[in-house]
Amino acid sequence: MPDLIESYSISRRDVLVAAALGGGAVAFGYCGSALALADAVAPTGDTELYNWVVIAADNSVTLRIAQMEMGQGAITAMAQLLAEELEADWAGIRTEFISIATHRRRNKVYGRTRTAASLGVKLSEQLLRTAGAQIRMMLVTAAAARFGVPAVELVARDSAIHHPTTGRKLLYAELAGDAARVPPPDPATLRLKAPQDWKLVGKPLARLDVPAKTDGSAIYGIDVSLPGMKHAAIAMSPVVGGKLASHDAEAVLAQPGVHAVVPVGEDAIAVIADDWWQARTALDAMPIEWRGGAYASLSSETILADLRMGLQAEPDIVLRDDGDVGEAMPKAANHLEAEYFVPYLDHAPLEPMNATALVTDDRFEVWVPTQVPETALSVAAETLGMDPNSGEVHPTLMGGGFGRRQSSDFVRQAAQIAKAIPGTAVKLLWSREDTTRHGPLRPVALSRFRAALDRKGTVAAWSHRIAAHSTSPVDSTYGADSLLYAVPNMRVELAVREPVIQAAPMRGVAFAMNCFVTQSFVDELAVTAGADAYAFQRALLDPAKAADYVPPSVFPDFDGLTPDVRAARLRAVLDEAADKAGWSEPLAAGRGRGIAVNEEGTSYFAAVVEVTLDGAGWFKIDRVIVAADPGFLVNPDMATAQVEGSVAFGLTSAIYGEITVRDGAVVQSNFDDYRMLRLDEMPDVEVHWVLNREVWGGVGEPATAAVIPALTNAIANAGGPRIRSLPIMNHRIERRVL
Amino acid sequence: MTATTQDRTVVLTVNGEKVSLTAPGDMPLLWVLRDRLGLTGTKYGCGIGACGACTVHVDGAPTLACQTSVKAIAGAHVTTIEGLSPDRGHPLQRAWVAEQVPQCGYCQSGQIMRAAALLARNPEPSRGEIAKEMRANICRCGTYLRIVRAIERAARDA
Repeated sequence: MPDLIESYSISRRDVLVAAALGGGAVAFGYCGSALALADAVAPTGDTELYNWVVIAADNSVTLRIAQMEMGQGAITAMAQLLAEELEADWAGIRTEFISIATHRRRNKVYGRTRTAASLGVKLSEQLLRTAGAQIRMMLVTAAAARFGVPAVELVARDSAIHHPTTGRKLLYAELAGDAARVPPPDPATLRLKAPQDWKLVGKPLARLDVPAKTDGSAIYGIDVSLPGMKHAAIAMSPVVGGKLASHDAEAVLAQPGVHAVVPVGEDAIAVIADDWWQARTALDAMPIEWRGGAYASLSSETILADLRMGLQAEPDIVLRDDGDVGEAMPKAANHLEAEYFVPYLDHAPLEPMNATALVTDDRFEVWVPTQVPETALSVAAETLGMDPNSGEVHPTLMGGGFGRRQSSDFVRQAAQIAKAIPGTAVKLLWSREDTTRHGPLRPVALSRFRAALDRKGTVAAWSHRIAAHSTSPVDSTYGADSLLYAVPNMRVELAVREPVIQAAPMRGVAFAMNCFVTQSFVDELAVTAGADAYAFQRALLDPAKAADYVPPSVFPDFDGLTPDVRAARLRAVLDEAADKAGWSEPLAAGRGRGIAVNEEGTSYFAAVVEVTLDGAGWFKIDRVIVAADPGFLVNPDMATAQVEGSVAFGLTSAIYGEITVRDGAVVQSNFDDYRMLRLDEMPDVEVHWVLNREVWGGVGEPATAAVIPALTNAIANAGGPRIRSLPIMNHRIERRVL
Repeated sequence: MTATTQDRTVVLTVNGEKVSLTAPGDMPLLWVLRDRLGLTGTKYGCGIGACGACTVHVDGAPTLACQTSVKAIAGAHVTTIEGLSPDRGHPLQRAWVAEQVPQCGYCQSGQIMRAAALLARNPEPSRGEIAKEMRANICRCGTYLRIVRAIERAARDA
């Protein structure tokens, strides 16, 4: 049924919208919203300019968005960057996600589409500002020819080219046809605006996707609806590595609406039905048996014991070895040792995993909320044994990503299921329980520290050994070996244990693991030295003594910044956070403050948390202060929202986040046993920007990491216990007997 | 097939329009709205009444659509986010835009519907009353501070 595929392709630019109630039909309709799906070919009357821009007859300007939207504001931020140099009228801006097939056909002109690591702005700003300037110059060149005047006499403003001396103007819509025939100018011939001349970048413009997110019209992957579409529910082996042993399809094939029972790979089985409830009900009623697999006896206890073996064994990798820790350690006056644990975490985006696929003999299409649309396409092609050039991926809005949607496991499954009924689109939707139990997880790690303080209370030696499940720094060592501290003898080692549960980077990645452990240990050293935590931290971040060490593999990297500059920037946000928190003001008994810093690439963050112990085994967070230097801000209000959200995300991890394993299976299943921070627990958050205006960074992640040790340090400072293993809910928060 | 899964015809009024539908009696309202009526603004988040993403109004009361079978509400008036206002003009929808509340936006239909029921019952809720009511709804992106501000703004402007 190639006709179906054809019809989808033609209407690709249309967003899929639910028909108004009446008859219950679902139909296509042009929505004109910011969220329309991308099309390779501009509709009649529209003119595409240099890949990125489509000018419509009504002079509206559609910008193509190549970073995926998971709530961080990618659509709006990318549009601001592109529209700035384009001199487009913001009121007439529309956006659409790029076509992944077009991106491939055009040799990846849209740059990096993977959306992760707080890098969307940093890695796009030059590309987008340059493209905007090139397209503006194409329009200027076209106008110069039409007016018969030199290009230098023309001014681009509000989606029109003006000739000020004669008062003439031509709209972009009037010029687009001519401009499309002008070769894009060499970027080297263009000068981009200086930051002080920006009209859109740096301004707190309203998000383009917000209106559709207040009336139910925003379309997420779970909302995709195609003609004749079927729905699939899936059951996966509860035990890691287990296989499907047997099932009884006949038991459910007669149930209403059920079309097919489809084994998915070796370890899962799906039911296809007219709607998801039917599919899920039938799946739950179907007898299924699983074969245990090699990990049937795996538990959180065996995993922890294995990590502890890692701490005792010879390290696999010495990441850093400054000075001579072995010689310096015994000479010092005072020593401190501590062991820290961070558990597995599930990303828990609120939209459960899903993907919709349509497969015919020679083509495939996938509609999916994903952070990695190109990977989604290649995974689908590989699964189907088809040419990647015969496929298309339509990215949709994501109901949260947080790193979970960097994996394409559900895309692989959707392709396998859709292949069973060629020519019919199938939407695979995981239940929340599937989503909690079968995600790749933020990995566990165990850290052991040993440090020496000299008689003046300064750190003479620092030894940190990590036992983790990956040699990939993003899952194990980010933030551990890049410390800028003025410590002459520093050794950081990694012991790699065999991974059993697949890892996936989660918002904050290993920074969120190592920021907790290193910033907690620094706080413990300050207490041991009898020093104020802020003053102690500040002395360690001495630009004149910053350690001259760069990790061999770090991404995002430091953009060539020298350690003294990095230390000065990190210390500047530390100072700002302490100042805004009123650090020197005393707190009443039972209250406490904690402080922590986090350097991620070219982003510098510090957090202060204030808590009150409630005297009944728990605590209240009074407020959170974050100071941050990501270089520049594209949209200050969106950036502030990202930090507010990072705080909630970090606090959830700190207080409640824990996935445990028993008998080879994940124990937690849903939001009743995998808890999230709720509205009544959300503290006030103050965000203070300190912008260096030199090197671009990111804002989506770094506060997530910094707020965790700031909280646990505050609890200790208030007289509560020193939290060395997360989550905090496993500890009773009583005042220590002094 | 058990008795509860047998199809039955249920009449509901959804966003002001009378709908007659045939569905398994135990089919949750959530899936009727989404898969049978095409009203996808109401979201599936947990299926156990723990996240609030599916919050709609049944006869004016905030109700978890994933925990409500269609047969249990035969004859009722159901309002979803699509029916809250004809033009995105409800004071809460305007406040949600003014405060730039949504990030991923997935939970926001449920948040707005719960807040709308709160304001209908209590036009000037205190911050404590807002917190008590709204703790039922999870926002994984952490837009809680803005949700509170938007409810307070809507209460002021209504």
